[in-house]
Amino acid sequence: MAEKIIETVNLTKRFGDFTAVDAISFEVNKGEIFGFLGANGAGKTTAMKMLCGLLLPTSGQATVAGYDVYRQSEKIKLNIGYMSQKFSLFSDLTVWENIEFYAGIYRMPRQAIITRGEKLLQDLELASQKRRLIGALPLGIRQKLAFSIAIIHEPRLVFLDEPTGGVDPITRRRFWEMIYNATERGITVFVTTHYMDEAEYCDRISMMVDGKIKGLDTPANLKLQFKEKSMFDVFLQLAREKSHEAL
Amino acid sequence: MKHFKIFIWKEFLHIWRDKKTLLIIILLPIIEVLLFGFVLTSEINHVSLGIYDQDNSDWSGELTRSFENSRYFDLIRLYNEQDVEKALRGNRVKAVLKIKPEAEKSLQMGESGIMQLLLDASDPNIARTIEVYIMNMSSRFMKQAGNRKNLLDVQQLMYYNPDLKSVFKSVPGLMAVVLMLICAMMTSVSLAREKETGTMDVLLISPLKPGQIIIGKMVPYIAISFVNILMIIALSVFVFGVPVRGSLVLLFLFSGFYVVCALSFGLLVSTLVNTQQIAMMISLAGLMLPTTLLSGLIYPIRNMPRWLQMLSGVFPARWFVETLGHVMLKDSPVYYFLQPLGYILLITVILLLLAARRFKVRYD
Amino acid sequence: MRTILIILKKEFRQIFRSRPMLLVILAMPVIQLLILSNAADYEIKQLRLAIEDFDKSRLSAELIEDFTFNEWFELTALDLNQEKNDELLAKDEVEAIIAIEAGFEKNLQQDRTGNIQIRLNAIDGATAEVAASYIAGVINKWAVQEQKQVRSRYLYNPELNYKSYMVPGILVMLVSVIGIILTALNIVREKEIGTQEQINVTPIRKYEYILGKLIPMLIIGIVEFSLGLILAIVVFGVPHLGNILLLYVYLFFYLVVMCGIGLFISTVAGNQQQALFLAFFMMMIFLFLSGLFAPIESMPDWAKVMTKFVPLSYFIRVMRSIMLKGSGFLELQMELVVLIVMGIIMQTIAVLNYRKR
Repeated sequence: MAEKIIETVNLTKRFGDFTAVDAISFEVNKGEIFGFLGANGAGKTTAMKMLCGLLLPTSGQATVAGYDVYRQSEKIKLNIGYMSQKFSLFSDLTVWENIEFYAGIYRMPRQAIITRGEKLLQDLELASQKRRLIGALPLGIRQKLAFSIAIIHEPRLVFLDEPTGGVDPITRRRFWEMIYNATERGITVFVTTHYMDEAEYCDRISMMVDGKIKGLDTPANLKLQFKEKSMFDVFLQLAREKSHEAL
Repeated sequence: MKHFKIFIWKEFLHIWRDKKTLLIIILLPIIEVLLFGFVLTSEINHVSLGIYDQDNSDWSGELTRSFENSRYFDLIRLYNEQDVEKALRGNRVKAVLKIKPEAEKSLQMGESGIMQLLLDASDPNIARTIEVYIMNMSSRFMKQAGNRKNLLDVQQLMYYNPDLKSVFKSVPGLMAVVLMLICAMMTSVSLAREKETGTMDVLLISPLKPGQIIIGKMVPYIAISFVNILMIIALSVFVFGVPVRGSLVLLFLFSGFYVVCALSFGLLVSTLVNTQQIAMMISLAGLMLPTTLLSGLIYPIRNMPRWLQMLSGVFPARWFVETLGHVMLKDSPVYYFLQPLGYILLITVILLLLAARRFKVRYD
Repeated sequence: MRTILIILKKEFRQIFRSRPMLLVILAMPVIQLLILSNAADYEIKQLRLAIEDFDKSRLSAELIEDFTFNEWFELTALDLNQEKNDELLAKDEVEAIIAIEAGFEKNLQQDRTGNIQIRLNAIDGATAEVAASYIAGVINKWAVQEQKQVRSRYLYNPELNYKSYMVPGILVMLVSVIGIILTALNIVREKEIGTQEQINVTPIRKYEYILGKLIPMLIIGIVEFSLGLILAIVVFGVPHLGNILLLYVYLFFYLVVMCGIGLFISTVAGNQQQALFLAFFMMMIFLFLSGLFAPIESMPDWAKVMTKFVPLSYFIRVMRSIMLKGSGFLELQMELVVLIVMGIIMQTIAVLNYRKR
């Protein structure tokens, strides 16, 4: 059995009458790329926010990196990275100043900030852009940089909330290469997306519809289970079911 | 025309959705008028006055009692020079009346200067006011008879504001300040916000003409401003009894001109800056004190040095206060306020021209 | 500790990067102080008078002479046309009209009442009242020529220089506006852009984050205050009798209160616009209950009670006392206690209200 880095049992979040996340239970293994798929408003982001300690669950249990989300959210935060669909770098700071800031608040030693920061810039071929303001960089580069900075402190787990929104296909490709590199270094990746082609890149996927998990397996097994050719068709089938229920 | 209406409707929705802001915009003028009306008075009320009676005679006791019975002063008795010094320095009293030893005798012998009044003059106004009150009370106490004074009958006619209510002056000033700030802040911030979030680009490439975008932004705020004007006037008329002696139609017309002027200022600010934060700092931190101080709301403009009087002319608030005074309180003939009104229009045109030059439809 | 330094570094970098902001923060208050301090003047330097002398006697001429030789008055019209004079009043070209009735001298000589009428433009009630009392003072002096029983001494500000009083107050106001708004906007802005969320998933502790935000504001406030203080002393010649160091002690605690209010606003407001209007709302109320423009001495009792909850009123008093009167800590203990208590309360409320989740 692989080591579990996330375990949830009946995790639920309600906002008033509305149940955003409805008793979901799943496990994420160490080192895998775990995809969270679903339409907008299916509850992906809410679930993710509970796991990183931004939202308190209404009920159910969850542990992240071995820590309880109710009581040990500060411990969790030391062990995770996070990159949201909203842009998370400071546009009025330079590339290097952003690196310094985020690495610093993860309590990295000064020397390590410099060596790892320089390496990060080299990998992204941004060494010459070090002193440019983030606001002046193209979106694609900013997203790649945001991801690199989110894992600069070598967290055990990184949460990516629709990281490739609004990015061109080539950059998306490059972005996924970076994700693979991260897993090779032993970082677990938890990613939400609604791009079905991206789903194919994940080791395992959970399909969320209306706050519930409707399917959870490898992309290949899911296609078998729902008897469809592509993840896109799986998604459509689930969406159709939903509209039938509505009728 | 239809897309223009939809655009205006969108602006109304923005304002309507943001209940907190709306509440503040509506509540603010009400609270301000109430505060102004009740707080700004020229009378003094229960000022602490120290009495250091070195005479300790029947006469000085009686004099002290006459002060005790007035609602203007709260008496604090002091017993030595050190007390006096401490009380003044520690802000416990604003003034100390020292009755000299043997004061009664000296008075009978016709000597002068039997009392000394020590005033904390760090605030010269209050010091002077207190001085006048004490002088009047003490001379009333001494009731000197046998001079012409008793024969004089000085009749005072207080024109336009017989009860000397401070609201009379503050209502026009308040309207000027509140409208200026709300309008300038709302437009500058709302436009800067569209720029910041990128929705401005969407508006610019839409079939809307730049003029329509600007007018569309202004219309809802003009509507809100009129709600404010109505409320301020209603409050001052019904709560404080401020009259509207001139024509209401003129009043609203002029307010309309002024509101457009204030909105133009906000527009200009928004064309000059790129972020909401700076738009806000300029329109709030940069406008609040200057409009309050240079509009004549608190300090009379003619007390200012000449160069500052000229400078205050740049602020439309000053001219609006003047026109309002004519329309509300004096019902002056029209030619009295043509000049201030002209200034408001002139300032508006200049602001709009500047803004139009800066308003970019294309990016270079 | 290191985390706080890192946040501080970031905050200062952001502030210094935005030139317009820096300009607004530093130059605007200085310019406003320089200009507006000249505007704040209640003092009536010269009252413009119109006198209608229907008596044209020796006594009335004597009285008029007393007005012409008095530096407080400027005789602008000596016309008997009442309508024309009233028009001058309406146009704000004179402040008051004095009418001496026909037969004034004769009446007085025959021990009958002599009538004088004063007509004032009373829209500005306060000015009218002062004007009336000045005029009455001249008339009384002319009539009584009594001996002065009370001698007054103006302490602390013997030249009755109104600027010495107003400049410190306006400075406090300017520092407060910037302090509250800057703090409120700064945090709300991060909320709006989304960087706040990013920071919330990092191991930064709540107190570290808040300190990292507050310290730059305190420093900005202190720098700004110092600039203003230098101007007040050098340009306006405001006396500084007390201990300036003590003034800074009060300033520190005062800024803590103000930033606490700003922080509180930022936790309540959903976006920058709301923050701005909330700050505006509070500042306007503070402005009129601070004793800056409207003296607390002349407020009704309930308003006096309200001023006790306005931090501005304490610091303005401290500032004026230390500078003009040379008051020391002993005389201002209460103010210090109140400011510290207010600071603790505001910060606690703000921190409790601020959520990382």
